[in-house]
Amino acid sequence: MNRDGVDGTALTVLVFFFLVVTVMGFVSVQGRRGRHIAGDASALDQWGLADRGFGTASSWLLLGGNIYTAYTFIAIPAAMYASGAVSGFFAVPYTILVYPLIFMVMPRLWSVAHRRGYVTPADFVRGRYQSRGLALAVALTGLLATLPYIALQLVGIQAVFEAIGLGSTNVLINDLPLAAAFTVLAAFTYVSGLRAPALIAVLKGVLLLFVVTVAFVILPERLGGFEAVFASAREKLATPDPHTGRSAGVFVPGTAGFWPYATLALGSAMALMVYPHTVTTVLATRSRDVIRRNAILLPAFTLVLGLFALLGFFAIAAGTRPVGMDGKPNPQLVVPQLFVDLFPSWFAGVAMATIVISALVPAAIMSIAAANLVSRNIYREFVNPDATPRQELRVSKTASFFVKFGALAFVLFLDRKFALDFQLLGGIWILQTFPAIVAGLYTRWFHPAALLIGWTVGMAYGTLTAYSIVNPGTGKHFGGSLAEIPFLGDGRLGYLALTACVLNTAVSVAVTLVLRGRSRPARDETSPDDYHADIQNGQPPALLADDSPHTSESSQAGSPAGRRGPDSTE
Amino acid sequence: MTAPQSPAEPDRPRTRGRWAGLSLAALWLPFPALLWVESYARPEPWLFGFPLFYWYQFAWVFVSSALTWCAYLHTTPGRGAGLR
Repeated sequence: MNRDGVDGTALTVLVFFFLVVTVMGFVSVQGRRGRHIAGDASALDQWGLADRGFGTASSWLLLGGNIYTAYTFIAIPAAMYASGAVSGFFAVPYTILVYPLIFMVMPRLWSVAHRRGYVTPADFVRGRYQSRGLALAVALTGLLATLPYIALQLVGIQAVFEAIGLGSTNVLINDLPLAAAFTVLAAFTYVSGLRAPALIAVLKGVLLLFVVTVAFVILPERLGGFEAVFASAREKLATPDPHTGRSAGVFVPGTAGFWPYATLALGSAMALMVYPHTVTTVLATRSRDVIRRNAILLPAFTLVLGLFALLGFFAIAAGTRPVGMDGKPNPQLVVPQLFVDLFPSWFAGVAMATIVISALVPAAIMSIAAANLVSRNIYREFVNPDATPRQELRVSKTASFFVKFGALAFVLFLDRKFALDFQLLGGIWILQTFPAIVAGLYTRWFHPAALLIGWTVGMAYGTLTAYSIVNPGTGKHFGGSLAEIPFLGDGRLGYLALTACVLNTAVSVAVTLVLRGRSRPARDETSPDDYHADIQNGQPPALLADDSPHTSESSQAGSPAGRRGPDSTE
Repeated sequence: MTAPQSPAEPDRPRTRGRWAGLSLAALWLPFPALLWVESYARPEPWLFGFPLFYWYQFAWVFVSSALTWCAYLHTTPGRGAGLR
C-alpha cells in the first residue's frame, strides 16, 4: 500500500509484463509485409497502417485496445466513485451508440481512402474539397486533440505507479519509471509502427478479460452481493457535500441529468469517429467487411468498460481510501487502490500491468496517427510537396517521437490539471471536424469555405464557453464540459462539444446557401463509386484505381502514395 | 442530430430487398432507447441485484450488437448463413 513502501511482488509482476511488452514491440516489425500493396511506394502504409492488412480478429483487438484506453479504466470508475452516474456511466451508452455509427459511416471512409491512398482524415478532406485551408484545419485540430489524449494515458500510468508505492518526494526519481516506460514505447513505435500496438493489443485484450472476470467472480461475493454494493453507493452519493450542501453525486440521474447524460453519450460517440487514431485503425483493416463485423463484435469491450465503471461503486462499498503520495485524497487512484487493498499482491500486479499496457496501446496508435498528420498534411502539403515516400516516412517516424515526448513533457513539467483541461478542450475541438469529414462522406453539398467558417465558429464558441465554466469548488476555469444550451431558454445543460458542433453545422449550412449562387464549386478528386469500393477477387481497390474510368486527374491521384507528385519512382 | 443524409446520392448499392432496409433502419433503435434518459432513469425494478438504470443499459449492449449483426447479414451479398 502506498505509504508503506513498494509492494515487491506487484512490482515484479509489473516489470515482468513490461519486459514482455518491450520484446513484443520490437519483434512485431516482422509483419506480413507487402501483402496487398507491393513496392516501396507504400512506405507510410507499411509503417503507419501496417499495409492495411488487419483481419477481423486483429482489428477487433486493435480497435478495442484503442477505443478503451487506460484513462477510461482509471477515470470512469473514479468519476463513478466521486460523483456517480452522469459523469461516469455515460461511457456505456456512448460506447454502444458509436458502433451503429461506425457500421454505417466507416466503410465509406475505408473505401474512398483505399481508392485514393488516403492515410489521414485530413487527406480525405483535401481530396474531397480540394481545399488546403480546410484540410489544414482538420489536421491541426486532430493534432491538438490527440496530444493531451496521449498525456492522459501517462496520467493513467502514474496512478498505477503511485498505488503500488512506486514514487518519491524527490521529483526526479518520482518521474523516472514513467519516463523509462515512455522511452521504450517511443523506441518500438519508431521501429515497428502500427504493428507494435497491434501485437501488444492481443496481450491487453487477454489481460483485460482475465482481470475483469476474476474481479467480478470474487468482489460481489466479498462485498455482500450487487444489491449491497448498489445500496452503499446510493447512500454515499446522496450524502451532502460539505462545500456545496447538495448531494455529492448522482446514483440515478434526475431531471437535471437527462440532457447532460444524453448529450455526453451522443457527442462522445460522434467525436470518437473523427479522432485521428480511430481513423488510423479503421483504415488499417483489410476490407469493408472487417469494419462491419467489428461493429458487431466490439460491444464486448463495452461490457468490460461497464463492469470497470462499477468498480467505482465497489470501491465505495469496500471503503477504499484513494490517497496520493502527497497525502491528499485523489479519486483517480481508486481502481489501482481497490486492487491493492482487496487482492493478493500478484493479482494486484497483473491488474496494474493491465492498466499500464492499456495505456501503451492507444498512446502508440495516437502518436502514429498524429505523426501521419504531420507528415502528410503539414510537411508534404506545405513544406515539401515533392516529398518522396521515403522522406514522408522519415518525417512521420520522427514526428511520432516528438509527439510522445511532447506528451511526456506535458505531464512532467506542467500541472496535471492542465492536461485534463486540455483533454476536455480536445474533445470539444475534435467534434468540430465532424461536419467536414462525416458529411463529406455523403455529400459535396457543403462549400469548403463555409465548412471552414463553421469550424472557426464552433472552435471559438467551444473554447470560450469552456473557459467561462468555473468550477464552484476550486474557482478555476475549464471547470467541466457541460454548459447551458443557448436558445432553449430553460437553463438546460448539455455537452458543450455537441452544442458547438450544432452551431458549426448551422453556420456551415447558412454560409453554403449564400456562397452557392456566387462561386463555382471546386473540383472533387473522388467519384461516387469510390465510396463503395471493396476488395474484388483478392485485389485491393488501391490497385484497381488506376484502371478506373475517371479523368486523368483522378487516376494520377489514385496511386497510393503518389497523390500529387511524380515521385513514385523511388 | 447532425447525421448527414443525402437523398440525391444513390447509397448502398449492395442493399437488397425489404429486410435489408428494415434491418438498416433498426440500427437507429439504440439512439432513442438510450438518449431518452427519462424513460429508464430510476432504480426500480431491480434485476439480479442491478437497478433498472444500470441493467437496462447493459442489456442494450447485447440488443445493439444483435441489431448490427442483423443488418450485417441482410446487407452482405452471398453471406446469409452467418459470420465467417
